[in-house]
Amino acid sequence: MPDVDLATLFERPPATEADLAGARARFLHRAARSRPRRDRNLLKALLAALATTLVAVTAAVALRPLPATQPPPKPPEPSEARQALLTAADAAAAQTSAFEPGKPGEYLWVVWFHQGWDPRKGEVTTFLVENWSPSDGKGPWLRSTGRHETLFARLCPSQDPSAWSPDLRAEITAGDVPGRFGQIAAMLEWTRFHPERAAALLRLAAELPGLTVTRGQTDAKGRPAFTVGLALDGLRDELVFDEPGNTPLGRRTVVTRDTPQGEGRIPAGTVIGHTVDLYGVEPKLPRKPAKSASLDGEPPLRADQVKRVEREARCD
Amino acid sequence: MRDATATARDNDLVRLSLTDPECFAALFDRHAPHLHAYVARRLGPDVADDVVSDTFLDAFRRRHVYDPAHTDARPWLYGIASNLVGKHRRRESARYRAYARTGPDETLAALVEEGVTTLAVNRPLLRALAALKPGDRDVLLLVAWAQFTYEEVAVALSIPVGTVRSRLNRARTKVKTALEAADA
Repeated sequence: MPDVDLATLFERPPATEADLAGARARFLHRAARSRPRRDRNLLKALLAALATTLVAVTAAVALRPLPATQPPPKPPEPSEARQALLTAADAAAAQTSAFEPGKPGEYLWVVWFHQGWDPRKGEVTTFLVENWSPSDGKGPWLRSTGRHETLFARLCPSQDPSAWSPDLRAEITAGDVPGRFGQIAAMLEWTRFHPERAAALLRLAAELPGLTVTRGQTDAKGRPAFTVGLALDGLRDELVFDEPGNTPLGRRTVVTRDTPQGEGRIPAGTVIGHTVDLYGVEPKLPRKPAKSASLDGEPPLRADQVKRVEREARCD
Repeated sequence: MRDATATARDNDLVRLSLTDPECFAALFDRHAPHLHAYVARRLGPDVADDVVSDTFLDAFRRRHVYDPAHTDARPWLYGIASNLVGKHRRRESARYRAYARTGPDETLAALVEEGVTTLAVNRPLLRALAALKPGDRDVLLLVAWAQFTYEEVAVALSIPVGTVRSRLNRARTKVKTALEAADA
């Protein structure tokens, strides 16, 4: 139902008087400065009319009764996010010697504990995702959710250590801050065995403006954690770090206001994302099927029920 | 004057504003709330503030060339806004990609396609929107988000109705193809 999905995409109510106060103010300011002198008398009347409305709007906003609940806590300073990311980068860099990235022909195995939104059930569902990627970047890689297995023909360049550029900045192609943050977060997921790259990515993330830290969190597995994230239009994309170890655990998205989804809504407060559970080096790809188990309350499938498909990777 | 402007048609307001600029304020009050929401869906609320104020400033400056045959000023205003949105083309595509981004992360991408995760039902749609030609996207979103008729889109974008139909058909086909590919 593409028309339904499109009609509700980013759906939002008409702007309120308070929402428009900023646009009005800019309009007034720029209109007053942009007109030739001969027209300014005409404009004065318009600006006076709009200013009157603006004052009324401002007064209405100011006079609205405050909610009885406590005011929201003051957001932390962005510099805290920068410091947290630099600390995490140092922690990652210090781990370099502790990792063995595997020999050519071996596979890097990472298990993610994933929380996703199931639109059919209208609830968060939890399951494991296992990735087997070639340590030298050569050949296919496998992903399993316990019910579906996909054998990809190749890694995308940002996942392939042999294709990584010495100039990390050149790999960040997104233009704006949300795009760069999202790209860094995605690339970070493929650095479990490459902490030096994780450190470099975290240092790049530390340069982004507008990031904030949320302390006292837990990751999807309930481990103590903090997050560094960026709010955008009812969603907050976050990197999740071990507390107090500062190592990257995963990423998640917090829904900060009810979000239309098809014909339903994802309620504010919903958290989706994934956190690393296990990892290691495997000598070869598993035989069909992989041994992952579903965590969504349904029993694991028999071997002959797991479907393995092959397809090309799609690299954006 | 305010009582009279509240019920006046848009073309009358524009005409009256030539000698009485105060009347233009009624157009802002009437159309800015929905225009802001439309632009915010395309570019985000922060940029929407600027685009809305620029739209009305531009409209105010050009009110003397407004076609009085059009009683509804929405196509005119949304046309100006569409041009301004076009100046933020990279931002708009980046916004869709930011939401759609599974980046190079095939794990999430494939989970999305399996329909088991996230905000993700819309991610293929977002990718498709980001990939549309700007002119096709303007037509598609004026119809889907502003509920414009083909004729209103034609006025807004200063293109023939036939071009509206062909652009809309092309955009819908591309979106449908992208969604079907994600479902396959």
